[in-house]
Amino acid sequence: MAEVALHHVGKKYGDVQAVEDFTLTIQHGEFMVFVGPSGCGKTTTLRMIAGLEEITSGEILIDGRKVNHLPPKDRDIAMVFQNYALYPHMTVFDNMAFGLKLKKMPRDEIEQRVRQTAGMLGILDFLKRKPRELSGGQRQRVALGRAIVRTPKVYLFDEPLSNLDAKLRVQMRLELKKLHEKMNTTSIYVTHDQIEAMTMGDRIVVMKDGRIQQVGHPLEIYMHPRNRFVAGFIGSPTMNFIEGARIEKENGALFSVTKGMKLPIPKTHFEALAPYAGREIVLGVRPEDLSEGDDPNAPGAVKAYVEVVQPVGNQIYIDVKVGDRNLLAAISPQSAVKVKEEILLKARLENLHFFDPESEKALV
Amino acid sequence: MSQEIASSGWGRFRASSADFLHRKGVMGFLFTLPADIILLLLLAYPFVLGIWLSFTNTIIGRSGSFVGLSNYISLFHSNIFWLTAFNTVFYTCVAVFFKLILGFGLAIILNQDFKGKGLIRAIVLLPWIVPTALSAIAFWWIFDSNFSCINWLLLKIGLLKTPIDFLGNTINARLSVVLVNIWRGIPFFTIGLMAGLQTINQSLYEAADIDGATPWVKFKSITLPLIMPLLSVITTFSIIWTFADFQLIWILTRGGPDNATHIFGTLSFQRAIAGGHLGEGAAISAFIFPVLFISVLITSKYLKREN
Ligand SMILES: Nc1ncnc2c1ncn2[C@@H]1O[C@H](COP(=O)(O)OP(=O)(O)O)[C@@H](O)[C@H]1O
Ligand SMILES: [Mg+2]
Repeated sequence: MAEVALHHVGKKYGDVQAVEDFTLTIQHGEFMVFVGPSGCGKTTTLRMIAGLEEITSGEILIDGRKVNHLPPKDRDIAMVFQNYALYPHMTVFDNMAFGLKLKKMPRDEIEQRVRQTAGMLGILDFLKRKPRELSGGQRQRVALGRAIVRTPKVYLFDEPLSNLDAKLRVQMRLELKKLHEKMNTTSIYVTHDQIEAMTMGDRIVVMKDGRIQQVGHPLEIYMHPRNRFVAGFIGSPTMNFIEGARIEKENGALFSVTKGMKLPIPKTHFEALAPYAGREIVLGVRPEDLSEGDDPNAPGAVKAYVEVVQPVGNQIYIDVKVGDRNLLAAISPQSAVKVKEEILLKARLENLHFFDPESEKALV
Repeated sequence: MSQEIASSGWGRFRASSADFLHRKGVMGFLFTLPADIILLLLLAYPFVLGIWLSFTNTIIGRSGSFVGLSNYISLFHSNIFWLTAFNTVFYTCVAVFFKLILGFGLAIILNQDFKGKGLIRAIVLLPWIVPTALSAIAFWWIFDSNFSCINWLLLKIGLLKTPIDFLGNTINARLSVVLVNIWRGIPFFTIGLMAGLQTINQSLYEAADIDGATPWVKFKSITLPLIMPLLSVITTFSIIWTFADFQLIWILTRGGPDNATHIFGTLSFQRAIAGGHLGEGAAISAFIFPVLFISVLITSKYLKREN
């Protein structure tokens, strides 16, 4: 177990600022996920922690010890690469034993450790095979095994599941999580897949353009995204953003108003939104916060015209027109919704999001 | 209408010939036929003719008659032939060994990331793209007993009292031709191996870094095993070309002094073309073949086992 701390870490490649002012402390035994679109600097950050990449500014500490200039082997970390990076000419056994042999561990201890780890991962039968004689999922397990067998202080994962098919990915996600529960080793996991991040992370770091956007527990980030980027990146399907919605004040109450829609704002937000009265903001509504309603006069009721219906099993995604805007709603699969018909929707008012149109920061 | 055609003689012929063509192998054979004929004319014919000549006493300008193994037997009793065999093996072993070591080393160095690597890589290619005849002449000049620039330089800065006779004494001449061969052959190893090194996944080295491997361990446990198949092919080619060399030595020493630098190629040429004894020359060059055949066989066996 170990604590990993980054203080104002930055990385420049020539003129490209890949990572900037990255400050974060990862607790003992925590499973931390870095998530963000491709090119946002996740891999670079991970590689700096591993010691595979020099850092341009700031400092990295593992268990309170500054490791800026420590070579990878002395940081007591293990890394699982996106392409697995298995030694192609070595058997599975030798792949897993390589690091242990270099540590001059006695032969029978190596044998025992490798067999135990392989047993845990269900790859005991493949120990004599070469990587090219394995399926993608099996290679993945070997890559994991090579990391686990060394019992490092910190695990680093760089999109380890992205080369697997969807079904296997879900299964491995679960297994990784179980492994982590069992070993409780500090882990840093990089992915571009927000579902992977949500399901696996004790905490999530959302990144964009080399900068941290938000750090927090998955649900906290989902419920309270700090800015428009995070709101759009986390959650599937993506949040609807209604630009140019106005905050209007009527008889002491606040409403967000746009063509064909007038949503009362919960009292709890009054204080934060009152200064915006009469101004345009960006309103955010998650598709799952729009359900089918029955009372056209209820607060939050919205009349909409259905353009596309996409059933996905547990929900139906409908693409609707409200005023002159298109919104996506995720409604109950029991609905009898039909294309080219009117539908009455009901917005969950307490879950509305409001963003400043310039700074894109969340207002509440 | 269509039935009419099918039942007519032409239609049936067409149908059956299409059948014949589509049978496995026939079409393929026809497509490769032009290439086969060219190979047969350009490679097999001279090869077979050479073997045949080695069993005759043909002299230039006069067709000879079959003499059985007598060319071979007389070679076995010839000191020059045995000296040549030694020279050829020496020339090949020493030159290929150093070409491999230096070429591989250079490949590893040039494979690093550094400023101006494009230019340096291009320069490394030079010995390879200059025609051998030209570079051999240049070296002939460099090694010349009177005008050698090396001697001039070393005498000038006082490292030498008397000039070195590069091609004039047996030991020096042997080393000189080997040296030129190495100079010329390094780029082949370097360029070939560099291409191979670039195909090795960089993250293997990173995984090894994390596993705690030193540069030497990384070379021994990753680079070497992964480059081995390519290395063995390149080495085989180099053995073939060095063993069957001719131009370089012929221009530099013509096999002298005292036959010290004669290899099979030059001795064969001297006997057959310069001396006119085609039969004997052919018998000498026939010795090149089995050695090369065996080295190719070993390599292909090795590659089969690896894969
Ligand atoms: N070796 C490198 N040289 C130059 N630029 C790089 C290098 N590695 C990454 N970058 C740049 O740094 C940024 C972050 O890359 P990366 O960390 O790989 O992103 P991610 O893993 O989030 O997709 C990108 O703009 C990328 O182009
Ligand atoms: Mg990446």
